[in-house]
Amino acid sequence: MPTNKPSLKGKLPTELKVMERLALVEQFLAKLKVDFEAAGFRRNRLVNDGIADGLNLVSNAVELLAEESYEDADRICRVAWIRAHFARAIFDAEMTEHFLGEGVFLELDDGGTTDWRTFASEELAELQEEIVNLRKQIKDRSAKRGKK
Amino acid sequence: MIDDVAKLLSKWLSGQRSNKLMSTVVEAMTEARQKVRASDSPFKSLARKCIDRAEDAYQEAIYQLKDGEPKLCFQHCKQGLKYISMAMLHLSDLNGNATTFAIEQGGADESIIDLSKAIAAFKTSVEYTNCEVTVEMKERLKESVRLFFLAVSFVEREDDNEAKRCAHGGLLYVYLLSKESEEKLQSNAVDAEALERCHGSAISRIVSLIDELSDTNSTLQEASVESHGRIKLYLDAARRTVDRCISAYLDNESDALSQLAKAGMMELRMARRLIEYAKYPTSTAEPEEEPIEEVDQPTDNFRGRVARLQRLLRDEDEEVAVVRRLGVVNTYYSRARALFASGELSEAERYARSAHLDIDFARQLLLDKHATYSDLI
Repeated sequence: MPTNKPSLKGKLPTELKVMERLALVEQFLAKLKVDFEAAGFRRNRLVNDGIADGLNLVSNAVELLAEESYEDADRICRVAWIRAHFARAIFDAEMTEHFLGEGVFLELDDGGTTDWRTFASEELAELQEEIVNLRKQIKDRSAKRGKK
Repeated sequence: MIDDVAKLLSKWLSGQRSNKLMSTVVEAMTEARQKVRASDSPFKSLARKCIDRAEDAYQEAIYQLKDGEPKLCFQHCKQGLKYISMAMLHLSDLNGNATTFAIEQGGADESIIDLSKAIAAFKTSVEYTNCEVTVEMKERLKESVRLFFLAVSFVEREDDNEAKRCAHGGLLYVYLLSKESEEKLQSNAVDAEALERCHGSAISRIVSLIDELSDTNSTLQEASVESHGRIKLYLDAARRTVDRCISAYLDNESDALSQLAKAGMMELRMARRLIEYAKYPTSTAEPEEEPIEEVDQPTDNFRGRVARLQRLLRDEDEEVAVVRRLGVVNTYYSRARALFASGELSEAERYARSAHLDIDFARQLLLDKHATYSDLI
């Protein structure tokens, strides 16, 4: 597992510092990608997306560095690290299950945060289905009562 | 006339600057490629990728120069140089410390990382012990993952305070989950240090409530089986109160949270008194039962899901109208279920239809931005 080194609070990031941090994140993601592809037993979407999004964020941060927006680049770099860290943690958890040989995974998703509109729409459809079911139950009971 | 000359001169100077920078990029790329060939760094391939990206940026710079855009050309050259610097870093000694990343102590990042570790630890424990995870537990875990992603998006939006709040909320959910299945999991997924790092009286109150709930739950076995039904009513109520406390914390409603925490403690006190009475019925007087809100499980699940959806929409700054409409759906659905349970079928149908119409309206609003009441419902 990765470790987090405490940093000094309130210091403005310099270009070199951000670049070093970006290089660390990129290397961390590269290692994770190699492990993930080598594992091959299944492709967890959270891990897969974590790697892809992390690498995209690194590229975005480099563009921000070119625009001399060091603080923005540093913030994006932090996000890339958090995403990478989570992806690694989930991957390691799945490896445990894989080694145990049970193959029953506790599935997790991002709860609609990255594609919240689709998630919200699906959730609304399911809730609507519950209301339809309730109406059906009411109708059935009314019909039974009518027969009596 | 003078303005035109000044513009032309500025463009020419810019072009000259870009030409010079382009030569620098080419030199830097050549040098970097040579270093990659000679290097034995484990991150050689990453360095190579960075140089490839630098080359792409350089090509883009050429196109921009040809299109008469020296400023954009300059920008792409700078981007290319940044990629080359990254390549050099991949070849440097940095690679020995590839797992250390400085984060601010007590900051949002630390809280989010704590949450990420807790989620993964819970998942590992469940998979290691083959502990059965109920639908309700899965929902809570999903909510904590959603809060993780929400916290990350707040960091992106430069709102570290909200990011921290979401991370703490998520951590509380995982803590509750772990406490509920502590016996089976044989450990708690939330690090004690991580909980200590969540300063604030609000969190302390919720943590105390969760601890009390867990302790009371563990003493339930000491009571006679016949009394379990009565006791469980209070334990379930306290559990729902914990959920509402976490929601109030996430919505930053401190007054509501404090009242709920008090109510939760009262519910648990009642459960403990009942357990005590069930153990020694002759030694103490039968406790006078405090009134408790009876909750229909499907209604409670429905309300929980609607509340989560409302929070998601609020976090995305989605139209207030959709959120408000969902509140109405909640009321109508709960009323319909209550009427159905008491056998008032025609009134139940009236409320259920209203809930149906309003949820359809909310869906239309969300997807199409405008809505009408359907004639088909």
